[in-house]
Amino acid sequence: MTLRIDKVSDGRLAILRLSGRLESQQLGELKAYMKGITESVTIDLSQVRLVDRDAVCFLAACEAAGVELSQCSPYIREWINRERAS
Amino acid sequence: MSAGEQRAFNKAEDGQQAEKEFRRLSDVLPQYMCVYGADGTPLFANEGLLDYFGFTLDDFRASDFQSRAFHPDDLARVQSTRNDAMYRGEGWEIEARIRRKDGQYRWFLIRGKPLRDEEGKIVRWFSSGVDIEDRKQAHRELEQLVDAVPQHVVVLTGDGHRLYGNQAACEYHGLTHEQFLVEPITNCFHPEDIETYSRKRNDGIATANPWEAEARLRRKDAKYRWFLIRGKALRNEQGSVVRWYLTRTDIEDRKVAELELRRLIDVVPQYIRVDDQEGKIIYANDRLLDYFGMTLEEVQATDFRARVCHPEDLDRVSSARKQAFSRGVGWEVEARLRRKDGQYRWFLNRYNPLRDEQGNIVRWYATGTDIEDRKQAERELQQLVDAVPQHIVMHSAQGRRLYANKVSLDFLGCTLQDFLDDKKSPPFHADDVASFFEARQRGISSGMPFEMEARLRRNDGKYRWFLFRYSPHRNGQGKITGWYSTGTDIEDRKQAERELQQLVDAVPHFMTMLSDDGRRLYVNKVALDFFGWKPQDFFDDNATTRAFHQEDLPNFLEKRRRGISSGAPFELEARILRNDGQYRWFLFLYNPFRNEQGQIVRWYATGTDIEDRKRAERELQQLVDTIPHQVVVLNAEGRLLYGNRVVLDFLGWTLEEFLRGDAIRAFHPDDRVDFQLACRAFSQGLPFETEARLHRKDGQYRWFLFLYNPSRNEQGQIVRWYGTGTDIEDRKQAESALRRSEARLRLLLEFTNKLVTNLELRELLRVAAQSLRKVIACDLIGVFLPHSDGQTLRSFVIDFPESKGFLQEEAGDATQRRPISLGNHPLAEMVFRTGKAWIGNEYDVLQLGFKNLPPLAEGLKTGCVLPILGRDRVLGVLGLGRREPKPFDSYEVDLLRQVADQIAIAIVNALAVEDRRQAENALRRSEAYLEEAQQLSHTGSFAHDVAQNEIVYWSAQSYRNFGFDPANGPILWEEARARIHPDDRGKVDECQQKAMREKTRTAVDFRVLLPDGSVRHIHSQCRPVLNAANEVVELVGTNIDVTEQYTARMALEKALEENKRLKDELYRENLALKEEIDQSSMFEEIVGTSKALRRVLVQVAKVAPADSTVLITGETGTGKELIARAIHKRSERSSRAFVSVNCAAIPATLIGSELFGHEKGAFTGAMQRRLGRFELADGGTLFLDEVGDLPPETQVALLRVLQERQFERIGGTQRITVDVRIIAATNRDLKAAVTAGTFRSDLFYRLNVFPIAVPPLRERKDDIPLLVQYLTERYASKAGKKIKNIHKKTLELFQAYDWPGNIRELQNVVERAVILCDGETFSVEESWLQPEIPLPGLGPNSLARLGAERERELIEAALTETKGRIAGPMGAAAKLGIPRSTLETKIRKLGIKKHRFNSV
Repeated sequence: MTLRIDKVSDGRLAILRLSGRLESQQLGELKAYMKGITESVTIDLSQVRLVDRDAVCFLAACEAAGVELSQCSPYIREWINRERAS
Repeated sequence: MSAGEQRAFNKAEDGQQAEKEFRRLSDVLPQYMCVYGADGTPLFANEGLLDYFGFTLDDFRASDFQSRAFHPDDLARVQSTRNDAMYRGEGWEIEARIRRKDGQYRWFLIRGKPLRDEEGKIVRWFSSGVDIEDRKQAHRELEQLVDAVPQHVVVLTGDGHRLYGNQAACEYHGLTHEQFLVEPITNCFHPEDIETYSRKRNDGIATANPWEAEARLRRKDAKYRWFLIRGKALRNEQGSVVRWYLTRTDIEDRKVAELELRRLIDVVPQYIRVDDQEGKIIYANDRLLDYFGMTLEEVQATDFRARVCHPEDLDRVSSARKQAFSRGVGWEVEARLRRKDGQYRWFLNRYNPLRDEQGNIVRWYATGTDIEDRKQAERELQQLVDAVPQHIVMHSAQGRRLYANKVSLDFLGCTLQDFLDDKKSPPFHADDVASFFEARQRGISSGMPFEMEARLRRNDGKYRWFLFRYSPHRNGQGKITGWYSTGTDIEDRKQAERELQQLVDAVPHFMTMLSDDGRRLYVNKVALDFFGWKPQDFFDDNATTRAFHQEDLPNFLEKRRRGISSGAPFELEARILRNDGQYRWFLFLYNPFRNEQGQIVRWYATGTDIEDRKRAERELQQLVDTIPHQVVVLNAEGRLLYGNRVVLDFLGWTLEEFLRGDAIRAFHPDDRVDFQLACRAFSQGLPFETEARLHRKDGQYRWFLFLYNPSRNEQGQIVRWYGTGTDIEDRKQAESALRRSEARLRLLLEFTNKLVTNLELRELLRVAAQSLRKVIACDLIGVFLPHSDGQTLRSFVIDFPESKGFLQEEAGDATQRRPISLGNHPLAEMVFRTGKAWIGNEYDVLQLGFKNLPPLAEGLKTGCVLPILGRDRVLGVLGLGRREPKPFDSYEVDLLRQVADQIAIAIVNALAVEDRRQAENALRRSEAYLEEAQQLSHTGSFAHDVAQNEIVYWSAQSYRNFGFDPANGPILWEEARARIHPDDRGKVDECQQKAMREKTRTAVDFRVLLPDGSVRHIHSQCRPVLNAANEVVELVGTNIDVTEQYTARMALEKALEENKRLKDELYRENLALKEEIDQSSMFEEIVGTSKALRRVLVQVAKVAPADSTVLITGETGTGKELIARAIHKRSERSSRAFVSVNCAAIPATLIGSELFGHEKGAFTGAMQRRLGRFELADGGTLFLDEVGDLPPETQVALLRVLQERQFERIGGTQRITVDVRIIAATNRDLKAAVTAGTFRSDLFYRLNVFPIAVPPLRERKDDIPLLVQYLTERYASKAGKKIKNIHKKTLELFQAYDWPGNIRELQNVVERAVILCDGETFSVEESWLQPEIPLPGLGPNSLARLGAERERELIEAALTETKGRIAGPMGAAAKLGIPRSTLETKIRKLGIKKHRFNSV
């Protein structure tokens, strides 16, 4: 399964809905995609089925930088919290 | 009666008669009159008086009359005055109030006078009363007014007794009015001032003259202030002083200021003195006293002036002083005053009178300023003036001599004094005396500087001319105080002038001198002789009228007036009358002469006879008119003066129109600016020429060459410009033709050059179009070349900068073979077909039947279409078009034909080049392919001249095969041979020799030893090449690197051996496995023998080969996928792939991608193309697990695939056909989902072809022991444990348990138990299998029985408890005791937003 990124924007807020797997090999693409966005970003994780540690660290960093993580499943949330605590 | 008695009687009679007469008379008088007896007894009162009192005569005569008549306050004073006067026998006068009959008192002036008889005895007293009530009233008001005055006003009697003091005076002294009248003077005045004041006051009263004095008056606070007291007498009709009116003005401030001033005066660097009106010194400042070393008393001494004034100056000073005093005017005198040290210094002494209000001099103020330094400077200046070689004389304002310098005195031979005393008058020439003094007097009267010339006789008796200049000297007020005159010897200049005049008279020109405003001053002899005039005739008012030709006079006068007012030199031409009665043309030149200040003082005019020139001009004009060229004459500034007949005839103008000043309108508008720019040369004075078009009278413009040359006078000044105009129209046209010809040649040359430079054809034609556009004005240039069909054309090059887009270039090169439908050029195609040119306009096109042509749509009006002719065919078409309706002329068509020929050459070249390029490309491609093929096949080729033992050809791959780098250049055969393995060299040689010997193809395998020590295996073939004599000249062949094949063959051989070994082993293992499986189940991993299971397996066996779509239903964990796999294995597709998709595990956004695949870039994250599950399962089986969870949009796509067996990848366009068997599975109730609208009914029916319901474990409990045994062994083996027995109780527990998680739960329990199991007996704890207490009323089916609201409450409560988690042991589904998918279905159905519980 690959990663699909759908963007919805109202000009001020951009919601990136990620679908599929978010693993280290997809992070470069996601970062590049986010770099081109000028609006405030919210990442919708409701359709993410699998993440790896690099992805969790990336999501934690995004959240620390002000990116909102939406519909984050509990296990990803728990993992983010643990990574942040470690 | 005696005579005496009679006289007395008569007298008495007369007296009585007179008295009667008096009484009668007094009754009619307006005055009040009364008569008293000599002793004062009242006798008579006139009627006016009685009426005033309201008395009778008896009342008047009564004794209490006075007490009744007079005001009580006045009575005593009246009686006292009257009695006193009567006693003294004198008249009296008194003012008193008398009571009127109405009780009112009024003031009366009462006068009494005695009437005496002849002996002087008083016989009667006459008294009269005048009503002065009004005067008194006015007096009272005056007193009030006086009291209001801030000044002190005091009234004295004629002899000086105080009568009145106003309120200000009384209050100043702090006295009442009564006290003031009697206050002693010593109490009022400062003791130091009483004497002076009293003296002045008494003197004034005694002389009855006004007087004034300054004195300090004592104020009520005992302080003194200075007052100016002025006394003025009031006289009665007789002139006697009856009152003194004194005003006292406070001058304290002035006195203080004077004191301050005096202190200031003492420090002024002048001496200041104040004298009284008689000249007595009353004040001298400290500086004066200090200068003379005297006290004030010494200065006031009478011999003061004689002591201090220089003896030589004393008389002058005294005289001047005396005159000034007598005239009462200020004066000043310079005199030497002796300083206390005995030195004399020059002082300027000024005296000025101070006058009072009446103009009387009350003071003389004298100031003395030390002018010693100035005097010294004057002495030095005088010495300097004496040294000047000019006569310098100083005069008074009126012209009286004051000074003459030494030069003057020496010239005159007299002393200064003689000169000043007028004893020695300047010896002017007798002819000059009168005019000199007259001019001098006039000049002095004017007050302005002036000068004049006169001859003076020197002491040697000779006269010399002098220029006398007089300049006024003014004081600070601008008033002339003197005149300075200088006399400069101009004898030499005069002599020069005389000589000059003789010279002027000798000049053969007129010479006149005019004043600055043009008045005639001088004329030379030549002029007078010309006119035959005497000098005075020249100054006659009518001289000009007489002299000039009447036609020229107005113009002459006006120009002369303008010239003189302009102040700039000017010249005139006019005819003047000679003494013989003939008029001759003269040129008059006027030049101003300016003084040093730049003001014009003279005009000098010369007149030159130009009659001959004028005649020559007239003749020239006649001549010029006959010249066939245009000739114009202009003045120095370039203004037209004349145009010959040719000009005027050409333009159709008169000479007046030509000279009107706007001749530029005759030029072509495009040439006017250039012509005017060229005419700037007029101001530079250089000859010039220019070309321009002139408008002929018939409306045509013709080109002219204009040449302008200046004509100069003897001084080199330009006086005329002569211009000629030559018709160069023919030359211009020839030039134009030449230019066009040159342009044409240039164009063709450029085109040829471009042709030679091997430009690409399209680029060449574009460049050619740009060059062509320079020569031919057009909008469109197009080149059309044929398509491969040879009939239709395409627009190969379109040069159309302002195209609207209807005409465009069509892509492709000159050799384009593929017809392009874009072009539609029937006109060009007509020319192409016929090979004939077409030249015409838009109407011609329409007549040809061509409509809607792009050129017409572009708005082109005219066109020229020419065939591009090759050697034997038409190669294309050249077309030009214009939006301007100007047709293409023959010149342009000829040029275009030549251009078309050039283009034909270019096209032929391009086609040839293209053919050659294609051939070369083919060759290069062939070589590249060969090289590529050789490289890919590791095959090198060679040619070997065996006789010479030289390598003729050695391909790149041959180099590589032998380990050489082709880039290093050719190698020798020996070098190549050296690389052959030594053991193989013999074989190679033998192979070559055999080929040459037998003239046949040979082959050999050999090894090449590479520099790195590795070995390469080469297979080489060669064949001989024979010449005509059948002799071998070389060997050609190939060498193939077969190292890989060799190595692969070696490896293959080894692998085949290993494969054979493994195959045997695998066969054995396979047999063992099959036996093992068959023992446990008829289907792989489907364990059980229960009836329910068997029923399912029967269905499987039946449906498996049918290739039908199967829908497997059953609770979670019942092994639906195992059933699907079993169907696949039993089907025809078992050899192909079984692809499983868990539809619930894939995000809705990716399910489509997962099933159908996607193209690269179909969405963000689609980095490369990916095959979907359908494609992977092509030929096999696709198992769609949890198919009930498919999102609606995917359901549609899936349905389409099931119907058509075709689909497209996400982001792709290509339809893909697959052969896939679909087996779907779900734990959901799809019928209910269809009813609920969450699952498409058509998809359901498409899937539900062969439904198989897998029973839950609780319905096949018979299989539990077998399953437990199977699972126990599997997990024990996996865990490395050995379990031999299963505890009976455990099996009972297992069978008693409902297993909501079915076999998956059973697996988990067994695995856990195996892990925890320490012995060989398998057992589980009872607590593991205790059923969870379900929520009240819950269960897979119980929820459905609840109402929707209750159901919502229960689900939301469970979600709240599990924080939104649905699946898993701690999830809401487990809490509710229903499958996760069921719960999710209900959540969606009830519209519960499960995510809101995540944060709870």
